[in-house]
Amino acid sequence: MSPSLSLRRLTFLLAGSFVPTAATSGQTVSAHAVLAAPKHSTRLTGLTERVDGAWAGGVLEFGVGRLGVSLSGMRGRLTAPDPGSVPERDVGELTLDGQYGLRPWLRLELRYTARAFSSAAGYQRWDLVGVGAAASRDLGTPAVRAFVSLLYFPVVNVSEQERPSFVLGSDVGIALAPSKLPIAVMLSYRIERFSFADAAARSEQFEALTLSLGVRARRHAGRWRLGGAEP
Amino acid sequence: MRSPAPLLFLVLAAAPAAAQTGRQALTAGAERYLLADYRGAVPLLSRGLDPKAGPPDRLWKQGVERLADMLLVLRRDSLAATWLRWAIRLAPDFEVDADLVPPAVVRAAAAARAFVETTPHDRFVARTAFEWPITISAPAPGIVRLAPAPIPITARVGADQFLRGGEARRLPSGSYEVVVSAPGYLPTRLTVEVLPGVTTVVAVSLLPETAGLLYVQVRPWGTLFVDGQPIGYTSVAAHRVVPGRHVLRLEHKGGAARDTTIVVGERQAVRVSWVGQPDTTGDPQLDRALAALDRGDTERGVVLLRQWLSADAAGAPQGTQSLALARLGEVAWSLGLRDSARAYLRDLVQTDPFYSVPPDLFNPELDAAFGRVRRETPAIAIQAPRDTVVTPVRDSFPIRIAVGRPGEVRLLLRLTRPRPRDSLLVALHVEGVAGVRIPLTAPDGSALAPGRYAIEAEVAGTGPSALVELTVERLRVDTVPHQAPIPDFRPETRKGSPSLRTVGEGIGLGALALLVSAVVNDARVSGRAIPRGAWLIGGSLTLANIALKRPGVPITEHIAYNESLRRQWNEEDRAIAAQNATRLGTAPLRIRATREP
Repeated sequence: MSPSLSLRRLTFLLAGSFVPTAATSGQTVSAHAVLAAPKHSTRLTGLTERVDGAWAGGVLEFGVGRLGVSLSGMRGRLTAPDPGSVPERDVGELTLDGQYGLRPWLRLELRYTARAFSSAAGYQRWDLVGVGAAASRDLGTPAVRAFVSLLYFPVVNVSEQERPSFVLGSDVGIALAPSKLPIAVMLSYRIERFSFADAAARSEQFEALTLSLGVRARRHAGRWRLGGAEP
Repeated sequence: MRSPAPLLFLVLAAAPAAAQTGRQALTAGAERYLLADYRGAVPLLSRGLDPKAGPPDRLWKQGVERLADMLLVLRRDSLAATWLRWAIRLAPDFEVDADLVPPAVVRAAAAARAFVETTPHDRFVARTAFEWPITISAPAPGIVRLAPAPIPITARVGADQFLRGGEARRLPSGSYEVVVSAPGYLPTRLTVEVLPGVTTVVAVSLLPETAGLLYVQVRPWGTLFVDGQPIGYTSVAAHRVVPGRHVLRLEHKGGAARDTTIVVGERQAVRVSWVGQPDTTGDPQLDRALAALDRGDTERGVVLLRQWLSADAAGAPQGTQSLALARLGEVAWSLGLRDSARAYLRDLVQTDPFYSVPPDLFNPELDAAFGRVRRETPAIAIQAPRDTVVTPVRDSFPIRIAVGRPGEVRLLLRLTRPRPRDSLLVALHVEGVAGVRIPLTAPDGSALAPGRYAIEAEVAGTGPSALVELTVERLRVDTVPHQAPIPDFRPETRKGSPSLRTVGEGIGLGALALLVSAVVNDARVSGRAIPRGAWLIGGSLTLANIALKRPGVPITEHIAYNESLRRQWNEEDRAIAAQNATRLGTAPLRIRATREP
């Protein structure tokens, strides 16, 4: 099975999982502005190349009952610590993320990410499909929660380059969502580790420290209201 | 030779009871009846019921009841029915006392009345008289005799017996239809009862075929005489009179008589009207019909009234339909159509049990019939004020109930909102019309709550029911506003030092974040075993957990202060609530009847 075919199938599977099975009363929507400090490291034949920079973007989330889906878009530039050693790269990322709550503290996650690098050296696109689980716990108050997630990316496609043999990701963070205010603040740190076949002697890692600030709205009795708590 | 006087005395003293006078025989028969000597009592009571012996008073009516009772017990129910029919035909107001006589007699009397009412006769053309024998033995046949007349009359009795004037025939006891006719005269038909041993004399004065018709419409009702002969209560309709000149006299109870002379032509209909105050309703077609009746144009008036009832009565103002039915009943009664009259009266009772017949409309006979029909017709209606304002603690709510057949009426209060439930308000025996006052407060003094209610009246058993819907609103009353919430509570806790468990949990959470990141992190690529971002998140989690999970330490002084504030606030609020409840309880209620049957 070709990677592109499996990618399309997984995309359909992901889209199908978002179809609500029944009308539920709790519908939430939130929009966030995101600032991130990404870092991309590549190790090839003993040499390590690191670039970092700043990203900005936004996230749109929609939740119905146990189902949640979010779409995020980021754009920024990565530069090397030593100017001139590595060309600057423009980076854009689009992520579609679906979640299903098994328990109030445990959610299954299915994520598709398309990340593109553009520089004087050329254009490269990464398509990643990952599955995993996210756990969360409140810190003394429901308004503040810690979360941690682990993802395995079974389908990864890199344009014009060898596909990694094993990809693992993690995301840890802390989220603040006061019940009396419609805002939400989140600080998270994610890592995506890409391992390639031994023959290539190559490995890559993508990290991002992200701070987001958003507003939430909840639909109750047919009307949308700002705020995340039940009236 | 000894004197025969003692022997003669003994013979006389031992004479049978039948030799007694009518009233004595009734008394003696009653004594035998009370001793259950039925075979001895039957001949005595039969003998004593001779109408020539006295008026049909209480003793006579009891005699009929007892005779019917005994005959029913002796399984001679057809003879009992014949006696009852005879008594009802002789005394139209005869009624058995349902409280005293056995139910079988009540049923037999009702059947006898129904029979008599369906077999009326023109009492101005045919009359019956009775010749009582000295003794009566139950199995003996009776005799029918046709009185002689100046014209050659012939009578057919039953199916196959024919008599000429002056002839008599022995017949088994029972009811017989008699048709008397003569050439050139109008035949007449009547039903007679043949009683054991009694001679029933049928006397007729047939009217010529050219007889005219007399209609007399009078209000208030009166008694009509034609040429000095009593015709009966008004109204009179289609009464046949011999062509020629006649003097009519109308007598009102307690009023002066009126006389007038009419000349009746051959087959002519003469209409006389003495109506003081004609009925008007505002409905043109109905008023036209009533006017036709008032001027004696009975047939046309009936047609117009029936048309109005079938076409326009549904949306007519209250009372007009009842008036139309009452007038139709009165007309049918004057035409001798007793069954039809009762049907109209029954409709009248069912349409509006509250309807009060104008006192000048129904003559005593019709009024009595209406009373009987009313008592036999299952019907009920209730009335409530359409819009009234009452004070619950002082007033009660008046309800009027009207029934046709008397019975036990249960009055239920049905709450329709917010959830349906009902409760019995009162049960009472109603004969005709009754008034009930419904209290508007519960035993605990609380007033009827505003809302929508229905009051249903039903006759106990499987009787009919009637409903009136009420909307109860409490009129505006000034109440004291409740206090605002307490604004200046003091904080009752402060954050204390974190516990070891909290510190442990915080460190654990931070370590977990570090661990997960460290597991995924490739130290050779990132250059760090634990990335800086992981340290930042782990540290944040640890600090946040320790900071937010610090236990609250109660501040005793503040708690006591707040509690005193709360207590004071609650006391004042309860006082306000009690004061408002009192004001609301005494607030006037506006009660509107939104739907009546």
